[in-house]
Amino acid sequence: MSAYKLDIARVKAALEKLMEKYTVIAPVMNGDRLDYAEVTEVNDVILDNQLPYKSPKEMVFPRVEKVMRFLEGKVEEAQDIKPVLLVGAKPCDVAAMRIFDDIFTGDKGKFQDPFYLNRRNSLTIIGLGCTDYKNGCFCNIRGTDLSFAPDCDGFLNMVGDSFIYQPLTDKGKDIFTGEETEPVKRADKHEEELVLNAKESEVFTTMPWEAYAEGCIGCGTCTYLCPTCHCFNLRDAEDKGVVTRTRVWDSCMYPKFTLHAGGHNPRTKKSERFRQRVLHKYLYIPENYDHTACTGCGRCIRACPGGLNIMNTVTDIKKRLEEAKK
Amino acid sequence: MIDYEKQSLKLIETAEKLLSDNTVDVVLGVKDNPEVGWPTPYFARKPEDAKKLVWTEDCHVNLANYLTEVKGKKAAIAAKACDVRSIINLIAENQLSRGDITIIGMECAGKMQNEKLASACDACPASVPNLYDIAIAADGSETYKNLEMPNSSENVTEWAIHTTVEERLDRFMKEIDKCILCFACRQACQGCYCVTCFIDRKATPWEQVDADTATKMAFHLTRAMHLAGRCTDCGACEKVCPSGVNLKYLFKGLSEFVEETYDFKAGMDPEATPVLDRYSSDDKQVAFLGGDSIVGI
Amino acid sequence: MSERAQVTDAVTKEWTPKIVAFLCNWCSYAGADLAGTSRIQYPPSIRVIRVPCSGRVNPQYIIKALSDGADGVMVSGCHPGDCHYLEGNYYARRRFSILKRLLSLAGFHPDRVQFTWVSASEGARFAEVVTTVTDKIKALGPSKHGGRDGQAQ
Repeated sequence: MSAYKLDIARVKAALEKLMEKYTVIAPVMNGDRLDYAEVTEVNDVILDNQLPYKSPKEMVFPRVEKVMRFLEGKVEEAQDIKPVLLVGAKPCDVAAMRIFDDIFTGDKGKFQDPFYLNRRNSLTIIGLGCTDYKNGCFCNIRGTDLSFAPDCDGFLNMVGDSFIYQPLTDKGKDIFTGEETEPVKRADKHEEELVLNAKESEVFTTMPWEAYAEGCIGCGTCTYLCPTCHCFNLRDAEDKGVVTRTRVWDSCMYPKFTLHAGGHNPRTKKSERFRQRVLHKYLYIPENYDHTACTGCGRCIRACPGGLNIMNTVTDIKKRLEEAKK
Repeated sequence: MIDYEKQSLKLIETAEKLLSDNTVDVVLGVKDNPEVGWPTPYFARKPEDAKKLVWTEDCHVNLANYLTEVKGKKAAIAAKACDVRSIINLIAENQLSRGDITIIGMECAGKMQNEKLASACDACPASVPNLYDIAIAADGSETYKNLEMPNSSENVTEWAIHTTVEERLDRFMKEIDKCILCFACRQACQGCYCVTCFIDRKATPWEQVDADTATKMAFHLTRAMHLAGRCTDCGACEKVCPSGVNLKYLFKGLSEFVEETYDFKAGMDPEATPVLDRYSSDDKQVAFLGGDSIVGI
Repeated sequence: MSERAQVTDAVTKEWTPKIVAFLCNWCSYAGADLAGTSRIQYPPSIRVIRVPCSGRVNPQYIIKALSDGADGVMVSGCHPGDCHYLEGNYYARRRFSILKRLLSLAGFHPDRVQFTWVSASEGARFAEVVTTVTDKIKALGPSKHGGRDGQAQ
């Protein structure tokens, strides 16, 4: 498919139209920070190099989702939702969607999560290229392209004052149009440098996990902002005879995450919890899905009040592994 | 006003000395963190580690919390006036033992956050800690300068007198609407050291943690109640919140009430019994039907 | 309309508030008993929860009742100095004073939470207290706070 060139006014005019058909989600200012949120006024949309504070995973995996209601012998399941258009997703956030797809349609589609698929199928994603790295970004060593993401429905690139739109799927075909032009030439794809090629036994007890995690206060902000963290809990709440089953986000950084019904807790120390977060992303998911579950967006690093740094941690582990081999 | 370079040098020198003559096992301080944008906690355990310590205008982290984690070890802590109030609170509540801690009192004129004075700092009464072992003054010397503090925070009691119930409810609702129940505020708080928080208790389903209004209300009000007369106004809860919830006015309002009614201020005296752990038979009948009326509200 | 808003007085058909009343076993609960055995009339608006002492009432219970949508909460214990456990109600007095200020700051009308002392011999006073509390809360109307899912009524 060819690409189209259009200026910001045309993008906004198109969005205005699209708002009739879709719930449009785009980066807008929320107080003094940028967030992916529903657009009510097209002029609020900010399409530039900034990375929104939170990841857009809430579009497919809401923080609190009612999955079922039990009432008078009936069971109500999730309902159809209006199509959602996510505009301005950064390459790192688009890359995360692929990881979500793998998780929620696990084992090559054998286990499908209907609530996830329901939202995923009604979602159209238009990516937006970055022009520069931000403080804490490490997508380059995680193999995420700055100006292209293959896993979305269309991609916008900022070239000078205007945008070049490249549709990638049928869903993204008619979103934006303009004068036809050549697609933006892709920068060389970065190598995935930051990966752990190790066995669990090589890192599980030998690395200085206590030192890595000493600043952790267990707030879980890292997992709430992470575009690929997907752990959840199911809760049943009764109110006046109606039982609602909700799916709520959970976090491996909470001590209660692994608390067993019998009272035993296998991960009581914060260093063990941090180890789980790092190894889940860099070791356990790669074992099952052939890719690492970290896109290098740097959100966890920038937001951590304790100064924990997953990039430095993994780099340090790699260094230690190499030294051990010598 | 404050010479951070000299303070840093003095802090490193002090930490090196403390660590090399084995007075302490660990020095709690902060180190540079360009990704986060302000210095984050650092534990110096060897004399050569001490070089990483810094002291800047935006090192606003309250380190008192980490002291409970190195309990049993001899620890030194670089502490501002608000951190020291927190430490005193923890000592008064038997969470720390005074003998284990060496307080390096850092003179402070308020810390910056996002290029403006952190909102907790405008309520700070003093630039100098009220308990310390080693003093590091504004100019890096050992004699405190007792700098003037802005002290321009809102008086919550005044605010409450001049607002209606509906306005107060509005403000409260607006704040808790943003809350996502991640409990970062609880984790960062010096006063929240319960092994199992009431909201996390499994045995009784008091609270169901799905972010509905009733749960949020119950969590924040109960937390405020638990911190009545114990909040030291360090602002850690507000700094750490990923959603920008700011309920500090509730804590501050209660501190004002406790000070006025029971003549007690948190974080002043390590020997004092906490205000809700004691009573006096002639306490005012505030809030009781037909009793003394509550001031203004 | 929720169930909460539909509770009406069987006789007058007008709305009556739902009030959760925590009564201490030794004084106020006995006082309520006395009011009953003496056939003293008082509004049927309170739901009594018997507790060993007013000092047993965790502020969280009161907050929970309000955030789940109760129209009001009443706590009653022994008069200061008369506590069965000697000092339970002294601790409670401080706690409730602070709680009331907190609720008031958070936008709950101070009249929604009522604390009082009623002894075992004060059956008439108990009826009087319940009447006063009910009238005060009735004047405020149904609670606008809380309720599950934030369905404030």
